Amino acid sequence: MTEVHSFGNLPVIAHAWNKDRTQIAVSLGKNDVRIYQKQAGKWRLIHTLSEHLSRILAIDWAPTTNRIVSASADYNAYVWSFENNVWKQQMVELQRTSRAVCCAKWSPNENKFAIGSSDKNVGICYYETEQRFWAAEMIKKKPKSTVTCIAWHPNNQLIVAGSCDYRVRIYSAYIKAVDGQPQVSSWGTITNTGDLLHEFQSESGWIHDVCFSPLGENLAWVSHNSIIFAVSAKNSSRTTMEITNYLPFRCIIFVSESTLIVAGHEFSPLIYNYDERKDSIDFVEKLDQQETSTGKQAVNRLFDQPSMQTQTPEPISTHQSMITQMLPYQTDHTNIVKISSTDLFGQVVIWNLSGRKIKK
Amino acid sequence: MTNQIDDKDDDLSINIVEPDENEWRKLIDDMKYVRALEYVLQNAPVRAKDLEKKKKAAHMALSTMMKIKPSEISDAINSIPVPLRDTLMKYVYKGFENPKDYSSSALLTWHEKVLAVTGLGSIVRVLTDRRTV
Repeated sequence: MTEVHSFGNLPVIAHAWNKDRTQIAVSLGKNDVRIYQKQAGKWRLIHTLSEHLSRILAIDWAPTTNRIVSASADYNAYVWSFENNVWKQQMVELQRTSRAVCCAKWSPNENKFAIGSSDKNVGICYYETEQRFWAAEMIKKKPKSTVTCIAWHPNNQLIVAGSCDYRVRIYSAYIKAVDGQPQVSSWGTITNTGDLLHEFQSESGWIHDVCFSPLGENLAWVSHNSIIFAVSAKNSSRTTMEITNYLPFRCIIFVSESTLIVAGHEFSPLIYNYDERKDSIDFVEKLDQQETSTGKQAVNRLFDQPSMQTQTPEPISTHQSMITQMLPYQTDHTNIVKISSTDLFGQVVIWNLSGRKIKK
Repeated sequence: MTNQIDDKDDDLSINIVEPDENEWRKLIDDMKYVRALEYVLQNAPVRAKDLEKKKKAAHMALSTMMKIKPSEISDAINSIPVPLRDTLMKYVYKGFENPKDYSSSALLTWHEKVLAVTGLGSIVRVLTDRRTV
């Protein structure tokens, strides 16, 4: 069911899988990306990508083109490609970035990637074939604070950026040089790079993570005030929110058009269902079902009645610390059937979603 | 380069409301304490900059809370709409700031009962929200 892999005691800040899921790239809060390969049930370190000068904050692995983008607190991003059994880096020309690069994500077609930085920049990066370097087109209508997260729309031409100014913004990420014709999207007309199509507010909490649904019709995000927000392209003026009883969530992922999974300081990922017609986000169940098992809680129940009434019982869960990132691990058509999550104690957990209450 | 967020970016300084003292007193005189509390929470001056306004509203909210019997606290919280429960929690913490004026033991009871309904989420929201009471 649930597979648990451990990569030492260091926090896993970011992780990324290769195409066939035999290799994983992780950032353990250091200035190198480590690539592990699974051999005979064990993870063996096969490559260390060291070029960054400071902590790596984001990694993304493009499965088909087999390229890795890494972003770091040293203000730089590198694109790594695998040639003759070595990973070769190429610097991305982020001229105007003068603070940490916090997030980086490949577009669905893998011909572009987007970065977000602490100096409020959002950049769309693409390969300049004539001059042979990775160029970045910076968005002019910038957010007003650190860009913490970025997600691509499946049509390859829209991005959404969440930032510490409590806003989520949808931008056009159309680049004439690589995209051909602009496509029609349900979130607005795409014409120029960097057009601000929508702006949503999130009460009074900075945004931790944002995501589009697999078909791109719905958008959801989580912020530091423990509220989950969602909005549908059909009615983009109405933002649905669910005020939860839990600690803040750090990551969110759509596993189908309407079902989302959130995780963060609460240790166990939670499944929610978004219904845009009813304007509601409803709690479905906990993904981690180990908590009701035996162990300390059961012992407490026998001997120590008051401990049952305490507000925060000793966590008995698969993750024993904050969940830092969630990624799709295996997809079946458009729905995600397995996800992976990482935590601050070096664990990578792969969750099987089959048998869970997920609306198709 | 500054990373400060303007107040106008956070909808602060617009939509300022404040509870009307006469309206509140009428509800108190009718012994409708829960209704009075809900009225104050509904009109809490969370976006106001004026500290006097906030102080006045906090006095109304907290003195109403002191009038509600400990045995009736749970029912009172459950009858208050979900979005207002966070504001209630803000007032509980506000009360802790002045232990001389408001009995901390009564406030601890309130804190426990609110927490039981809203979970840790409401404490996080009290800590992060810029719309203070």
